[in-house]
Order: sequence, then C-alpha cells, then structure tokens
Amino acid sequence: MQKQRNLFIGTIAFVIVATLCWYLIYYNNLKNSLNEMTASYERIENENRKYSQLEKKIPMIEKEWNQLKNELTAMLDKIPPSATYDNISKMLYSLIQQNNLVILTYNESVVAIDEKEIVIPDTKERLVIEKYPIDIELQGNFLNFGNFLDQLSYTNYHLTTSNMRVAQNKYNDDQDISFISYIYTKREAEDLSYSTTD
Amino acid sequence: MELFESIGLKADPFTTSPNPDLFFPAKEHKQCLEGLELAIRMRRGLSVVRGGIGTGKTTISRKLIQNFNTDEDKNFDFYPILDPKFESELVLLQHLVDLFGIEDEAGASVQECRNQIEHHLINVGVEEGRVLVLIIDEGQNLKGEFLDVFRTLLNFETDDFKLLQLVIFGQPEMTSIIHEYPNFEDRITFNFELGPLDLESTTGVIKHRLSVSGGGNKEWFSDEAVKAIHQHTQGYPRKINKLCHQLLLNMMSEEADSISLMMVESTIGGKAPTGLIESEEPEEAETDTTEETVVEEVVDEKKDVAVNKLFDILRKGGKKETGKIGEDVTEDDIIGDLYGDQDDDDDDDDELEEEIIEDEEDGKWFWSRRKRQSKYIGSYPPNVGAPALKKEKILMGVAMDQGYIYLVVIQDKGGVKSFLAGDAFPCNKPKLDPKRNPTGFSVAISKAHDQLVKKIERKGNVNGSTIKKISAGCPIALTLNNVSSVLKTVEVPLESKKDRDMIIEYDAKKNLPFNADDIIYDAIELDQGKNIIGVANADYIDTPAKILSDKNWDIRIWTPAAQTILNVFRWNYPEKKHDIVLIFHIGEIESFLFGYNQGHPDAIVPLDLGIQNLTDAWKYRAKVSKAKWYKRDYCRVPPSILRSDDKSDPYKQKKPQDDAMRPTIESWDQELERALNSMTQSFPVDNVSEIFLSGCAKEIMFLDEYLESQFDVPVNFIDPIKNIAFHPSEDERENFDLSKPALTTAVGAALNLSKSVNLLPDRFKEAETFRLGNRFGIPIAATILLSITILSGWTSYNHDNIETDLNRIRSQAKNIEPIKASFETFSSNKYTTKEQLAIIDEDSELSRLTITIMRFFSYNSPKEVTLDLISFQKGWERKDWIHIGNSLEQVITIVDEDKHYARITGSIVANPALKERYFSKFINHIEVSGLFKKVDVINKKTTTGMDIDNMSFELKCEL
Repeated sequence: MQKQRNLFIGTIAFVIVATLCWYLIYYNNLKNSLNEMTASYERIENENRKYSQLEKKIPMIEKEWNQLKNELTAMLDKIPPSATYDNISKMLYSLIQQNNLVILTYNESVVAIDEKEIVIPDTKERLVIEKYPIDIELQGNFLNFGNFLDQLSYTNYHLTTSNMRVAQNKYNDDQDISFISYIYTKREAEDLSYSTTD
Repeated sequence: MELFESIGLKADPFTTSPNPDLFFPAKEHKQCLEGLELAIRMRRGLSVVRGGIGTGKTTISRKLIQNFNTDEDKNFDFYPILDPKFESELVLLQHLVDLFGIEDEAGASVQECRNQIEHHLINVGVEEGRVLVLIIDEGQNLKGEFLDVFRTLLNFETDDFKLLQLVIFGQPEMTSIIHEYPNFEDRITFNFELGPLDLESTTGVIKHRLSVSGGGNKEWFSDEAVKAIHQHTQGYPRKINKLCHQLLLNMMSEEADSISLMMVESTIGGKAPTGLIESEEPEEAETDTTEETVVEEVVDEKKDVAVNKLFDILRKGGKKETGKIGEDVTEDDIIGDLYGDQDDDDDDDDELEEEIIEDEEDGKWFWSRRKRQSKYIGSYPPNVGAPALKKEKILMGVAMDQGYIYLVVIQDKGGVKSFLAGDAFPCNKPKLDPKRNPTGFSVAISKAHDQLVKKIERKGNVNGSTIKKISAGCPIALTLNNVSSVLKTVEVPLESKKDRDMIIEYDAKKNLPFNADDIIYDAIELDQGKNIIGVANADYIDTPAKILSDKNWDIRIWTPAAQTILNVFRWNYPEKKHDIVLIFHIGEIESFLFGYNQGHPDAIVPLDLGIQNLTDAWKYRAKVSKAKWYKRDYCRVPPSILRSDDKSDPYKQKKPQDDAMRPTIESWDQELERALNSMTQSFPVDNVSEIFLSGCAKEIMFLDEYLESQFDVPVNFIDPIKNIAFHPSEDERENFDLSKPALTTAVGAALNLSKSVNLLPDRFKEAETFRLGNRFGIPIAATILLSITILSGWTSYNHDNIETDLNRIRSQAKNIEPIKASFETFSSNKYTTKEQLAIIDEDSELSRLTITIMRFFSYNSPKEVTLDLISFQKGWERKDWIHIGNSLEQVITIVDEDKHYARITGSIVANPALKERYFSKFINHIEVSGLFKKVDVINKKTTTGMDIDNMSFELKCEL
C-alpha cells in the first residue's frame, strides 16, 4: 500500500521538480532570447519594409521642405538686423503720420521683450530674433486707422500689432486708438562656448 | 454390415453422420424444423438457427431438404453451402452464380455478379414461380462482410415475397458477428437457438434410432442406462450417438443382451469423487479404499477383454465397416472411442475431430478449425466486460471457506482470460475464523500462498517474471465464504429512481446477520431498476484486512461469495442467459442458494448447512479423530434414499457411513425446503430448468443424483473454468487435478467482471486511489516530460532559425541605411523649418486676425449699429465678491488667460419694434463671419424713458 503512495508522491514530485528546473534554468532563458530575437527580427523587417516604401516619398518630402525653407527665408528677409531698429521705428512713425492720425503717445522700447533662437535647417546657422514693443496711442478716424493697418501689412518689415483698442471719443467724432506694435530684428546667436571661454 | 447384423440390426443406429432418416423429432428439433419449413413456404426470407457443437443443426438441415423432396414441392430448389469460407465478396458471388446454375459465366466484378444473380432470381422466382432456398452450414465461419452481401440479395423481392430464401445454421458465436450488422439482423424472420435434449428426448432418440435400424421393440438400454447417458452427454445428440455407438460395441464384445447402468459407467469411466487433494498421502485405515480399488481393477480388466473381443468380431467379418449408412470407420476410430472419452468433461476437440472425420475434411482444415475454436475460449462473452479502469493483467483469486483456502491465478491478456494456476490449501483445523483466530488466519494464508507459488514453480509452465510477480504480490481478489459479507438483490422502481440511493441504503441495512450500524456496502445496477448490493460487516472484515495489509497483500477486490458465483455463471454460461437456473453452493459450514432468472440474480438465500455437517456426523459416529479432516471421500448421499437404488451397482452398496450421513442429508432436505419456500416470492422456483452445484458439492457422492431425483430437473456441477483458456495450452485442461466446483468462488473473484460489487475495506481503498492515480499519473508524467523535451527541441530549433534569419535581415538593413538616412534628414529638416516658421510667425497670426476683425467691423457694421469700443485683450475680467472683514468687496479676476478675446460695445438706435431684429441680425452676421470661435452677449439693455429707441450692448467674442 505504501508502495503505491510513494510511487504517486515520487512521480508528482519528480515531475514538478523536473518541470521547474527545466523552466527556470533552461527554457525561460531560451524562450526570452527567442522572444527578443523574434521582436528584433520583426522590428528590422518592418523598418526595412517601411523604408523601402518611403524611398519613393523622399522627393516629395524634399520638395515640401524646400517650400518651407523658401517661406522661412522670405520671412527672415523681412526681419532686418538689429542695427536697423531706428530706421524701422521711424518708418512706422511716419506711416502713422502719413495717415492723418494724431500721435498722442509713441513709446519705443530699447530692450527686446522677447528673444527667440532659430536654426536655419540646411546651414545650421543660428539666429536670434528680437522683439521690440512700441506703445502707441492715436486719435483719428476709423477709416484712416484702417488704411494704416493695411499699409502696415505691406511694408518690407515684419511688424505685428496687439492689444488694439478703438474707442469712440466722447467729445468729437474721432476715435481714441491704442495698440502695441512690435518690431522684429535679427542677429547672429552668440557662441556660448566661446563666450564662456572668453 | 456384418458387425451390427450379429446383434440383429441392419446398420449402425448411432452413426454421427447427419442422416435424415435417423432424425428424431425431439420437441425443440421439431419446433425448429416446422418454423424453418413455414418460413420457406411463406417465402419470408432470412432464417437463422444457432446451436452448440453436436446439437443436430446439420441433421435438421438435411431433414429440411428431405421434407421438400416431394412431388408437391417440386418448385423448391435447395442450394446448400457446407462451408462458407470465401476469400472475398467477389469469390462468394461467383460461387453463387455457379451454384445457382446461371448459364452465363460468372462476372468479373461484384456488380456484374449481383446483376446476374438478380436477373436469375427474377427469372426463376417470378417468371417460373420457383423458390430458391440457399442453406448455409457452419455460419460462424461467415465473414461479417458476407452478411452484407446476403443482405443485398435479400433485398430482391416482389411486393409479396422475397425472391431468395436464406437459412443459416451456425454455432452460437455467430450471434456476435450478426450483431455487428444490425441491418442484416433486422431481416431475420425466424431465429432459433438449439439446445441439448432433455431426458425424454434422449430416450426418444435412442429408441427411434434403434427402431429405424431394425432393433424393433427390444429394450436395448435400461432406463438407468439412458438416464446415465443423458447425464453424461448433457443431452447433446452427437455425444449421445457417440456414447451409444460405443456402448453397442461394448455390449457386443461382452456378448450381453442389453446395456445396463454399470456398462454405461464402465464405458464412461465414471468413478467416485476422490476429494480435492489427490497428491496428499492416503488416509489411514480407510475401509472403503480397498473395495474401490478392486472395483476399478475389475472395470479395467473388463475393458481390456471388451477390446480383444471386438477385434475378434471385426477380424471374423473381414471388413472394417461399422454399419453406418454409407460411411467407413477404421479400427483406430473404434479404439479411439474405447479409450478416448473417459473424461467426464466436455471435450470439444474430440467433438471437432470426429466432426471433421465425418465430413471427410482434410487434416489441415481440422487443425485450423481446432486452433480457431480454442481461440474463442477465454474471450469475453457478449455483454460481459471488465470493470472500467480496473482491468488487471494478472489477478489472484483467493477464496477462504473455513479451513480451506482456494487460490487461482488468472491472466487477462488481449481480451482472453487464461488460467495460470490454481490450488486448494487445507489448514490444520477445519474451522478457521479470521476474526477469532487472526494468527491462524495469518499463518494459513501465507502458507497457502507459498504452496501455490511452489506449485507454479514446480510445474514450470509459467514464465519467470510472472512467477516473480505472483510471488512478490500480484493484485488479489478476495472472498470469504461466511456471513461477514452478503449479496442482496433490490429492485428500484423506475419512478423512484431519484430515491435510489436512499432505497439502496435502506435495503443494505435490512435483515443483516450482523450489526447494521457498521457496514460497508456497494450497489450496482445490473439492468433497469434491478440492483445488487454487497454488504460487509466492517468490524469483522477489518481483522483479516489488517492482517493482509500488514503482509502487504495487494487486495484490489473484496467480494461476497454469491457475487463470485454470479461472475462464474455470467462468464462460463452465457448461453444460459435466458434460462432460469438454481445454483446450490455448498461451503464448509455455510452454503447458499442462488436463483438466477434470465440474466439476473433474483434471490440469494443463505443455508445453514455445509459439508462439515457430514464429516462431523461421521467422525462422531465412527469416533475417528486422528484422520485428516480434509480427507473426506467417504461423504455421500446414502444410496438407500436415492430413487434408483441399484443394488447391483458396487458403488451403491451400503457402507458404514450411510447411517451417519442419512440424518444430516434429511436435515439438509428440510433446510433446502425452507430456503426454497422463502425464495418463492422473488424467484420462479417451479420453472427452474437446471440446477448447478458449486463449492464442495462434488465431494459428496450421489448428491447430484439425489437432487435430480428430488427436483426432477438436470443437476450438473458448475465448471468455473469452462470459458477460461489454459496456460500455456489447452492440453493442461486434461491434466487438471483439482475439483472445479470447489474453485468456483476463487475463480469468480479473479474474473474481475464489470457490474460486480466491491467491498474493499478503507485501508485498501487508499492504495486503490493511489494506484488509480498512478495508472493515470505515470502516463501523464511521461507525457509532460515528453512534451517538455519536444517543446525544448522545438524552441531550440526556432531559436537557431530566428538567429539565422536575424543575421540575414540585419545585412539587408545595411543596404537600406542610406535611404533611411536621407528620409530622416529630409523629414527632420522639414519639421525643423516648420517649427522655425512657427516661432517667427507666432505673433503674426494674431496680428493678422486683429487687423481682419477691424476691417470686418469697419466695412460690415450696419448703419443702425454704433460701435463705441473694440478692444482686444488676453483673458476676460470676472467680477467676484469676497469677504474682507465683515464687508463684502467686489474684485476683478482675470479668467481664461490663455485665450484671446475681443470686447465690443456699442448701441443700436432704431424703432423699438425693429431694434431687436437689427441686433439679432448683427450678432448672426458676426457669428457667420467665422472670425470668432464663440460670441457671447454679455450685456444688452434698453434705457427706459425718452431713450426707448436706444439699446446698448456688450459682446464677448473669443478669437
């Protein structure tokens, strides 16, 4: 009777131990390695397939990039060097005057409120775009102000406006107009590593 | 034929050839013949007649043909096939084409032959109005596929009748072949099973044959002789003829006028039982032994004289013919008959041999037939199977009946059970109770086992590994022939099936000869509603169970004695499945009656008697105490109380023990009567067709004769190994030296059949559970290990493959590198440029939108609307009230600071009826402009009084 029980327990124990040893020592590593290699294989195969297909799309992407590059170049052309800041400000001032708008306030900032660094993709040239605000208060009619805004769009410089406010003057037919105009200039980015060592 | 003319007969009346002139219309044979005749005349198609060897099938077939051999029946054509062994379906059909005398040459394909036969059947059967009867003998030799051929032929029919009449005669094993073809079986219109003849028919056969052979009305055989012939031959016609033929020859040799009982007994070698242990030393000073030896010697001498005289007659005649019509017989045949059939047991091989000689078949066929016949011995009978999950290859059956321990070893290999060994071990004392004398039991059981192992080793016909297994402890089925376990029958009505468990438990505890509180029981449903329950006294059997457990005996089955009897009967007598039979099992001190009714045990009644009643009576009377208790060949039913008390029979002369036996036998009579009365309600005692004796019955001389006279039905000793093959060959059967009925319980336990109760004590059940667990667990474990190996191999193979593939694809990837680099460069440049543009253009978007909105209002404001303020701002002011000290103060909070808004205030001056409409239109105009994400009216009011035409508003427009 003991024989059957011992045989049963022995069989079960042997199977469990053998299976665990097999799994932990041998099979698990083998399986993991297989899984990793299978994953690598699939990934590389997918990449190969993907790039084989993308090869045809490269000219189109290149074309799109060229268009964007042209746009960027055009934009950068409208942003003059920092040294020309005064010229732009004068141009803006005179543009207001030319449109029969009475300048009540014209406060130029000599300090850029914002600086952004951009990189020209193909040349990897780094530029800093500076943004100078000019706080302007005018009085005049709405039509002249409209003309001013139109002309502002067509200047050779990149100028923007914000916080515009047009209110009816309580004492005459003119409007009280206030807004902030921004002038953008560019300069080459400083080589920080050089600066540091300098 | 001079031989038989010398005694006034025209020919041998007991030829075993199927001569229809000698056919005697015994009841069963007449029924069969009439049924067949009717089926053929009504053209009903298929008839099947089954019967064991020598039951008269061939004679009936010949008689059937003869019955149609009249002028009125000229339209019946009979075509017999004596041996339906054909290589293939095509060969069979070609044979039929030839047999039917179809003029065209038999077709080369099955379909062609079928078409030929169909056309022939239609031509002959419909157009000519003839009836074709195909008779097949030895139907058991038909291959199953041929039944399908005959089925298709039977499909040829008109609206009123079948075109072919088919009659198949065969041995009972044909049934299993037919069962496999239910479509064929369905077509059987007349199905008859021939059995052996009863005493009346046996008398009729003998008288009829003698009368037909010119024997007139002379009393050739005494009534006792006929009865002995019937008993010896069990009513099988061929055996009757064979024995009677021999008796006539003996009569002629002895120059006697008639055949007496003594002559019959002398011829068949009938001797008194000599007890179980023939090898034991002879009993001391037994008075009868000398007398018996003298009688045996006289009989042997007579036999020698008979042979010599017979040779003289034959030599005088100068011919070797026996007088059988149209048949020759050799000297060897006669000598063979004289010496060949001394054994009481059936000898199928002799039967077959004779049948082959009669049929004039060649020797090759005989041996193949003999081989096939012996192949069936030991096979599972129909509807008998091994228990699921518990089939044992080798099982030792151990039956303990007081002082006797019977052991048998049975092998179950390839669906055939073989008898490996058997032994009967007498203990020191006649009465041994395992509970009261556990030490005695322990010693006896070990000795019995050792004796069996030694016997097997001595015989040397069992291989070493099997002996080792038996010696070390093979699975054992145990039965104790006492009241510690009983078998009951319970009928659970179909409508109470859901309460079966409750009913079984109730019945299991009812009327037990021991305490019902501590029992083990097991119930099996034999058939719908019919159950047997085995119940054991748990307290009692725990003692022997503990002893056997301590000895590490592998007990698998613990069964009541009655269950073993049922097993033996189911296994060995499947042909009696539909009979009503009474089995009388005589134990040492406890016995029982077993009522078997058409496949079910209807009643099992314990009897308070046993063979030791007789031995005790004799020992008491003769005051013999020193004699070994198991030497009891003196036991017998006193001849004076037998119906046929033949004083001339030396065996039946009065002996000293008769006076001691008589009161015991009479008390047995009363006990039997009581038991039978108690059985009457559940078992049809009056319809019992046969009584079987089991256990120690064979040790009691004349018991069978006595019971036969009491019950007036045939009484036979049960043969528990009738359907068990002998190992290593059937020759061992002839040398079998034990009393077969005594081994019944041991064999019945070792048969291990399904639908048997098992009362295994708890201490063995645990091992049984683990063994079953191992039976499945080990293959499962092996499968797991194999799976692990396969999985390892498969994974390793995949690992190597993927490694190779990976290297290949990596080299491909190198080729694609430049494309990848250019794509990534262009994509990166495009993205960077887009990003730089966005950085520069960040403010432009809002500026452009502001200017566009200004333009919109400049050009699109209706004249009714006056704008007072357009202001662009980030975030929106929200007025909140907060507690500052005890006062509430209003504060302005800027919300949604990440969003850009346009604040527009103005007024509408218009007719009050129109200003709302103007305002709505203005708002709608702003909304549809698409310049704003959302437009909310923050304030809208009309000043009361004189300025009713003026409506001011404030809008919050999200950019």
